[in-house]
Amino acid sequence: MALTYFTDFQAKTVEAVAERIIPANGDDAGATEAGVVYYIDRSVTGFSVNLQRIYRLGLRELERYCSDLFHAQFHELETDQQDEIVRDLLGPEVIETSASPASGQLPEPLDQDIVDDGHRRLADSSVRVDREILRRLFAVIREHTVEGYFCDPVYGGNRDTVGWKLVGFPGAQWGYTAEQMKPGFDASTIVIKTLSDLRRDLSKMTDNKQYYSNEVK
Amino acid sequence: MAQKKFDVIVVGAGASGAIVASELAQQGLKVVCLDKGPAYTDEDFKMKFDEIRYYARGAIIPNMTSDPMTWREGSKDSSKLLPWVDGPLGTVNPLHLPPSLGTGGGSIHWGGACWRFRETEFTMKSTIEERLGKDFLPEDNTLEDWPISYQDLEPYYDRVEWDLGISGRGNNIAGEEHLSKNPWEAPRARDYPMPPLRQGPADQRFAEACSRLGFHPFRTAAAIASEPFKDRSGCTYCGFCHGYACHVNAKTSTHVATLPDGLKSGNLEVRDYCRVYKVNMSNDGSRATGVSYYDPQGRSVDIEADRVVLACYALENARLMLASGINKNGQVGKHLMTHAFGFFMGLTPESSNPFMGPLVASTAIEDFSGELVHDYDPSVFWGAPIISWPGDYQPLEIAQAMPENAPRWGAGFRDWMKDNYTRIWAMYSQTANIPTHETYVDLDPNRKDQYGQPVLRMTHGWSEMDQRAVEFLLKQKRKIAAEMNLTTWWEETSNPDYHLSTHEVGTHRMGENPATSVVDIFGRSHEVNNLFVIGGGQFPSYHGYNPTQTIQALAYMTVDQMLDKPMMSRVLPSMESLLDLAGGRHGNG
Repeated sequence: MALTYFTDFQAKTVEAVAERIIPANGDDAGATEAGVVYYIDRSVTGFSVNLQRIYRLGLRELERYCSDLFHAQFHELETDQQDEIVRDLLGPEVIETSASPASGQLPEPLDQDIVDDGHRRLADSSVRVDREILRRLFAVIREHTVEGYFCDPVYGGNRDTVGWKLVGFPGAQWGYTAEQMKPGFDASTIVIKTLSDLRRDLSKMTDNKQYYSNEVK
Repeated sequence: MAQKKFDVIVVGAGASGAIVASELAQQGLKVVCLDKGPAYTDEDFKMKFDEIRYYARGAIIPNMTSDPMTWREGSKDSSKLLPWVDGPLGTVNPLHLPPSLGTGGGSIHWGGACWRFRETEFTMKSTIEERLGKDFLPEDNTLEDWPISYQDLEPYYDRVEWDLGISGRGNNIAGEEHLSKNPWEAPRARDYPMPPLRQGPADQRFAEACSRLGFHPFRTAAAIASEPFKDRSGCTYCGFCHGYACHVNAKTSTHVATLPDGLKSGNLEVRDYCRVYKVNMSNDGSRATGVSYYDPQGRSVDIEADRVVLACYALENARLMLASGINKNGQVGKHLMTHAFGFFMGLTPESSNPFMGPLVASTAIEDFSGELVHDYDPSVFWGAPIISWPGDYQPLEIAQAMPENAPRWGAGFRDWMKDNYTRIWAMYSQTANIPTHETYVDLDPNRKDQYGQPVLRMTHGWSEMDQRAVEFLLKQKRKIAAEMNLTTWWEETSNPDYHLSTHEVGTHRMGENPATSVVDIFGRSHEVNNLFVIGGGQFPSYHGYNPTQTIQALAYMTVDQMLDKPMMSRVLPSMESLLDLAGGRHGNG
């Protein structure tokens, strides 16, 4: 698929970063399969045109950072090396807070070896990079990846509604019936719809009241 | 250049402005209603099922570029653009900005939670002093009792429910005591015009847990048609509700609930994309002559009218008055109050399907409302209902609402969303800050908007006493969560980082004394007698309820006054018995 802003190299990098934010696992699609990079690419030539600069400067800096530190480019690295970089620039997967709110259960702790190894490597390096722009870049990619994974497919991401399938969201529905709203209803039986599907429906409907009478008996 | 003279100019076509504009036009007055956003049609929102457009990118709300606003915690701090809306993408969570722009205003995007305030809410200050002592409230508090009572407002609450369309089940109707599930509801002349909405999937679990705990669950009222109402459809439970417009006009947004009647009269002109920047005054400053606004092309236009109504939200109302130099007694912008939500989210043991239905397809308890809370904990100044939020959650919103200790990226993030999204359920309450000399809005001396107009500056922090109320209700929520068998839960702090909740009030307080208030009970300015300033800004105290139904009831009062009609104050037979109940102790606390 063609790109509207990123170069091929930039797209490969963004795609690789996004895949670490939401990695694939067996049948569960990751950011790459969801087409997140195409969501981001279109965003920065449209609504988020103001973020072009962060992407351009940030990706240039990331290229330098990876060359100096790993003598390779981000998308060529092993996933654990990529994770190390993401951890360095976005922060750990789980932020430990002293004032964590009361909660019924805590997540699995991080693998401390991986964290230590990353810190050692980064501390040893003599690389001088603009960490501020890199941090901003990774913060932006994180948010954009989540958006691109769960957006309506019309935006270029969430291809074949893989993001919605993962979490069990039926997408754009005109409404739900009383039967469907009963406690414990298995919503995976509802056919996922997108804005394109609704637009197709729309051409067959003549007035507003039809949504109510057609969908919610 | 001045254009033709109108009878009335209404600034803002939102929750209250559209009511005033439409009602006056239907009575024959020539009205022009100006809004800085677009005039919407049914066609606009038929395809509104889009979380990127409406939630992530805030398609219908103001943003910090077009409508900048600054905040600081205290008078000695320096102000900055609202920090809680400054995400990595420069976009914002729509809940913590001023309400939507355009016709319908905040009533387009709202969740539709409707409440009548209980009787004691109108005498909050004296009730606290009576029950907890004269010295209980902080020394610098500026609370006042309301200059009107529940009886004054009852007929207007009724009008909101029956004219605009509110669904729900009345609990305190004379002769129908058998229906009552909420022993603390204020008396009402009649029921709602429509039954309550169908319950969200996990709402029943909340209701049952509350019953087992000895609380008194009841169905919340909603500004959403539960069945066809007038020419509007009933709710389809699509689940794209708060932050979105309705695709079938089931939601009681004023752009469909009242504006069309005004337009039909031929006496109402709505001008969209018109940004009013000044109220113009007569030479002696005693009367408003009209307003100046920037038209869609950015040209300044002056229009004249006999009367001017500002109805553009508590914040912009205050900003406009200050920018127009209408503030002789120094009261404009003072007494700012807003809500902390005490959001409490958790996972149900079976699927909750949180994408179905509106958030107000819900149940609430009033066991800890208002002064009732004093019987459980006399260190809490005022209580609030605890309300279930069973639906209306799309994936992006949940990805942003995960617990702090959940993974933010990687396999853990993916699996958290995969395992938990369909089991999300939430509850919330709303407690207001006590107004003090340190909670106010004024003009920021250091910042102008793109039109060169001064930007509003909020000064607001959450005091210890404010936080204690949130914390008390969080404790009750934990009990309910355990009784509901939630497998895990997480909470918003009692000292949230936001200071804007789309529920700001108090900034142009109403009162009888022109020295200590800005407007009278009809919203008429004490200083400029043909200027009306209406909305939540009129509230002299604030409580545990969503403000909009009261804002709209007050708007109908304004309409009656402007039409020289008498007030409709009503005393119902059941009011006496309810007063006895209100002081008593109930529940299992």
